[in-house]
Amino acid sequence: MIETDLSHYLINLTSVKEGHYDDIVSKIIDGRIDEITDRLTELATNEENGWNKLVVYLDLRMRGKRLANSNIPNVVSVVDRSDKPTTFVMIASETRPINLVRLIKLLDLSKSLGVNVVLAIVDKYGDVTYYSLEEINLLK
Amino acid sequence: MQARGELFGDRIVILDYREGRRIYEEGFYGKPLGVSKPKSTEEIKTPLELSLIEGLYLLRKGKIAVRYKGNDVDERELEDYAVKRIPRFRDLYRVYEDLKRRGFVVRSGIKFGADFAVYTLGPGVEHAPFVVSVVNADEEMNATELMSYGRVSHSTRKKLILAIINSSSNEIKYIMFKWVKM
Repeated sequence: MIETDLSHYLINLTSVKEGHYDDIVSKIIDGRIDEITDRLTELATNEENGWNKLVVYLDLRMRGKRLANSNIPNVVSVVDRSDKPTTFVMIASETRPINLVRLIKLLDLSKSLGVNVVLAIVDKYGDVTYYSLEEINLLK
Repeated sequence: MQARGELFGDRIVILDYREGRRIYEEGFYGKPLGVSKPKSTEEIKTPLELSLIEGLYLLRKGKIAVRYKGNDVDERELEDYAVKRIPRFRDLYRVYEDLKRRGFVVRSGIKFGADFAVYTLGPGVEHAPFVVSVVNADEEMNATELMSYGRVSHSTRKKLILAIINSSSNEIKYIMFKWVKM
């Protein structure tokens, strides 16, 4: 069952660094894959959308973004210099359906925090495309 | 005065062009047969075709009466008929009605790859400032479907809005969706 109630993630939004992914990504960038083979296998098999999350994490790091753990499953946080989240990046796979209820909850949460929401869609070749999502009040 | 429409397939046709002209004038409803974009209402000299979505809306507003095989059709009968013929009819209608309630002119968005093209003034007066695609949060949505929306808005340079229907909260959320460079 996919969790859709995100309200309890309001706590500790910024306090936890994404050490797990950060370390793996740093080793990938440094070409030290041999040291993390087991961790890659574990991540890809045990975490929800784990491999795609790694792909997005790596892509954002390569683009110079500062990242932290949002504590929200399947979401990477882009943070500013003071580790305050500026964008929640929700990860989706080309080959799997997107949970819209969860997306709506994330938009509600982000609105209350003043944080942007981006959907990162990872295709079956590992390419990432980003889309911004913003709730609007449709008025004439 | 109510205009009279005949239910033909998935269209409601107002055969009397003067009545059709009046309905068109009231909110850019429908399309005159054989005229894709009337420049003025005086150009309308042929029957007016309405979609089932427009037709049900106008029937509910008391603007038209609808007849099928010689008999009058009520709202319920027309809705049941439309649900059988048009996939996602209830979701599409719900968003259409909500957009109308907000005062917009709503036309088909199919040429932009969306469900609706939405105008503040009307077609011919302005380019549709945005297009709307309707999705139901209870249904699964593929990423490729979402990506195709993103491509459409990018290539047509229109703002794409996803109207997400949340059945549990009985809400429609309007979400601006666009490709972004990170």
